[in-house]
Amino acid sequence: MNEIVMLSLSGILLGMGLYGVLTKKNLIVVIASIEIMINSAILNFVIFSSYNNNPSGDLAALFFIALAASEVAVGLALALSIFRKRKSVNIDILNLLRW
Amino acid sequence: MITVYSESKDIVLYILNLLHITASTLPWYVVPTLTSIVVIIIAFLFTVLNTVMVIWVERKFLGRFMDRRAAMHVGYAGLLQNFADGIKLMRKEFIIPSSSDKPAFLLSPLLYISTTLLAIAFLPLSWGFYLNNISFSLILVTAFFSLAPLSIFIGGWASNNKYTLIGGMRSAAQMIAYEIPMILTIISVIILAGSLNLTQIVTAQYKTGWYILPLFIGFIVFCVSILAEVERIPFDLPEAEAELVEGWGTEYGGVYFAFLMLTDYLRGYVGSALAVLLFLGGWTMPTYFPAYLTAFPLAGLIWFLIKVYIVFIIFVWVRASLPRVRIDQLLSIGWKKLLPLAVINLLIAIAVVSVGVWA
Amino acid sequence: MITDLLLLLLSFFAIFFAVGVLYSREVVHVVIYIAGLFIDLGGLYIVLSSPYVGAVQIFVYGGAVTVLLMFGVMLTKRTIKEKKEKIVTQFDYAVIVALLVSLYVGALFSYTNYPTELYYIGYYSLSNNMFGTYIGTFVLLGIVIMAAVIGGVYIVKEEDQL
Repeated sequence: MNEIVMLSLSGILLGMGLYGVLTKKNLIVVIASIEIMINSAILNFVIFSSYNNNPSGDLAALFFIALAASEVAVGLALALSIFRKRKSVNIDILNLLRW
Repeated sequence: MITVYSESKDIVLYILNLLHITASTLPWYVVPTLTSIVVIIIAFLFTVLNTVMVIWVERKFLGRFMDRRAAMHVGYAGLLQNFADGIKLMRKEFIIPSSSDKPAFLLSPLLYISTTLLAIAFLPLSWGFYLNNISFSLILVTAFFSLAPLSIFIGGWASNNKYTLIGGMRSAAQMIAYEIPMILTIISVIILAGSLNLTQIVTAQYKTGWYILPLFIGFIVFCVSILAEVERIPFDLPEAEAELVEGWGTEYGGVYFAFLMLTDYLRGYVGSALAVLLFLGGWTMPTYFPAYLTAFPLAGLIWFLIKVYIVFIIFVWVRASLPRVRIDQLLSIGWKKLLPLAVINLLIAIAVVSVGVWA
Repeated sequence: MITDLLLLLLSFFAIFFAVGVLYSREVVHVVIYIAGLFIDLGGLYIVLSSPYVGAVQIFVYGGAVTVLLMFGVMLTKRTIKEKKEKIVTQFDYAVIVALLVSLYVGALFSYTNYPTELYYIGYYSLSNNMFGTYIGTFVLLGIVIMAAVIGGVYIVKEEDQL
C-alpha cells in the first residue's frame, strides 16, 4: 500500500478517539478514548519508520508504548479514588473548580 | 513442518490428478492454499491428539499417586477414556443463561482457545518440523500466551453471577502476577543463547550444553510460574473444585466446557514444551546414540515428546503432593519471593556470559 | 500483493472496532472492542515489517492495559449489568472532529512523492540505538514508570494500609 493510505488510517483513528473524549459520560470510556489517540500516534511513528527504512521510529514507538501503559495506570488510580469519594464515575460530578 | 509440507503437496497433486485437472491450468493461489489447509489440519490433529495423551498420562499417574487405579475399562489400559469423555460432552445440552450477555458469553472460550492455538503454532518440534521459523518466535509465543486473562475476565463477567465474577478477577490477577518472573527467566535464556528464535536456542544448547546447569534457579522459577499460569494445584484457588464450583467457567456446559478443559491442558502442554525447549535442550540427543536411530527428524520428535512427558509427570507429582495455597499467600509468593529469585537468575546469566564460559 | 490485502483487511477491522467503542451501550463492551483494536494494531505492526514492536504491543497493550481497564470498569460499577442507556448523538462535536480530520488528511495529499516499499526493521539496530545513543532516555523511562507505579499505589491506598 502507499504510505498515504496508512497515514490516513492513523488520522481517522485520531478523529474517532477525539470524538470519544468529547462526548462520552463515563470516565473510564474517556480514558479508553485517550488510549485510542495515543495508539494512532504510535501507528504514525511505525509507518514512517518502515516506509523510510529508519529504525528511530521503532525505538520511539517502544518508549511511547511503555509511557502510555504507565499513564493508564495513574489515570485509573485517580478514577478509583474519585469513585470512592463521590460514589459515581459520571464526568458531570467533577465540578468543584467551576465558577 | 517442512517434510509434511512437501508430502501434502504430493497428496494434493495426486487428488487433482485423479480428477483429471492439471495444476498449471488453475490460478496460482489454489495449490499453495490447499497444501496449507492440509498442513494446518495435520498440525491441529497432532496437537489435539498430544493433549489427549497428556490428559491420559495425568489421570493414570494421579491415580497411582493416590494409591488407586484410574481409567481401566475403556480401550486397552484406558487409552480411549478421554475420547469417550469428549463425545459425552459434545452430546450434552448447551444452556445459555437468559440474563447473561450472549455475545460476550459465546466469545470468551473461543478467544481462550484461539490464542492458545496461535501460541502453539510457533513452537518447533524437531529440526525441519515447524509451521514457521520466524526470527522472533519466542516473543510471539509469550505474547499470545499472555492474552488469556482478558478472555477469563470476559467469561467471568458475562455469566451474570457474583461467584464467577470473583473467580474471574482472581484468575486474571494471578495470571498477570506470574507472567513477570516467567518473562525475566526467558530473558536470561535469551542472553545466554543470543537469539529470539527457538530453533537457534536449541542449536546453541547443542553446542554448549543444556541451560538448566547455569540457570537452575531460573528453571525452578519458570516451572512454578507455569504451574500458576495454567492454574494447576497448588495454585488452584480460582477454580477450586470444592469451593467455587469451577470458577469462571461455572455456567458453561456441553461443547464449551470441553473447550475449557482442553485449553487448560493445551496450556500445560505449551508450558512443558517451553521448559523443554529453553532449558532441557529440545530435541537434541546424546551423542552416544547410534546413527541409525538419530538420522531422521522423527527421532528428534519422539525424543522431544519423551522429555515433555517427563516434565509433565513432574507437574502431576507436584499436584498429588501439595495442598492448595490461599489467594493472598499466592500473590505474595509471586511478587515477593519469585521476583527477587528471577532477578538473581538474570544476574547469574549476565555473569556467565561476560566471563565467557557458556557462549 | 498479500501484504496489501492484509493491510487493507486489518485497517477495516481497526475502524470497525473503533466504531464499536463509540457506539456500544455498555461499558464492558467498550473494553472488549478496545482490546480487539489493540491486537489488530499489533498485527498491523507485524505486517508493516516492525515485528518486535508488534509483539511488544500485543504483550503490553493486549495483555496488561486491557486487564487494567477491565479492573477499572469492574471496581467502579454498582451492579453487574447496568441498564442499557440510550445512544445520544452529538452533532456539533461530530462536525468539529470531521473538519479537523479532513484538514489533516487533505494536508497529507499535498505532497506528491510517497514511498511504497516496506523495509524490514530488525532488532539489532533497535538494541544498538537503545543501549548506545539513547541510554539516558531508557534510564529516565524506568524512573518515570517507577514514579507512576508508586504514585498510583499511594493514591489508591486506604487509611490504615501500607
